[in-house]
Amino acid sequence: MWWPDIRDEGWDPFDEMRRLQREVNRLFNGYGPQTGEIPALNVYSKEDDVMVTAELPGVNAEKLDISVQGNVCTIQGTKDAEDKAEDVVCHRLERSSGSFSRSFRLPFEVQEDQVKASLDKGILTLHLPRAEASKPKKIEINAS
Amino acid sequence: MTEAKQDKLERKKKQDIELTQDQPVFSPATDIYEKDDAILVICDMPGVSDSDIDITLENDVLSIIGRQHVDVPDGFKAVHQGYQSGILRRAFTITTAIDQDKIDAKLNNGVLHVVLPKTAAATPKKIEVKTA
Repeated sequence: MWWPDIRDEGWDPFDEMRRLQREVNRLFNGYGPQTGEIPALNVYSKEDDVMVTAELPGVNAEKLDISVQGNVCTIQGTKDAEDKAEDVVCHRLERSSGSFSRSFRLPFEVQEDQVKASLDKGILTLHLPRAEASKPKKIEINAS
Repeated sequence: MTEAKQDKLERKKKQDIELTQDQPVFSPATDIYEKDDAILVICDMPGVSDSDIDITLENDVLSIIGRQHVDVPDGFKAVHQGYQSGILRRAFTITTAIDQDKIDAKLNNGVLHVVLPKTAAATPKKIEVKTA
């Protein structure tokens, strides 16, 4: 049986197993709402415009940080845990708290000074218009 | 069949009832805290207006239903869907007696807070032990 030379190639049969483990983990990630990337995003597009919405219940606008650089947009923020009195018994704790960050790449450069963001009823809406410089230029054909 | 069992069966039947609207139904994440005099239910309700929330307490069952209204903005088309919108529904059995008239619900920033005050009879009374 052919067996690669471990000393020369640095091949490790456990590498294959770890790779398989990674693949399986990746497969089951995103199964259910808790795992996967946070926050989940919906993306809508128009000719030269992209709109991104995210569900962020309980996140204050002050605790939200949105930045755009070139064609990469980053949403960062912190969701504070509820303030509660001392003599309180907790029966159920499903709502997550803590910080999150998500970046995504758009197919075009964004006009950074015209990005609009609003937070209403726990839904973040981002308006990302395409930069003038990156818009395709229509070339007129002169018929002679 | 004992009465308790019958009750359980009824409850099971209730849970199987489908909604008439053809919208996905989700269970929103919920925190429940209990104090000596009240129960606090905190429920994530993003994109739900206060007029679209129904909270009922009937036969010890607290049910919370919220309807999300999300429209695709004009001229845009959806290109990626990371989450779905629909109906958010949760139901809990409350075992303590609740003062129905004093239930208070607030919706803030997409989070619903429901305070269910216990009746005076259900609030535990501390009994002092006297040393003779």
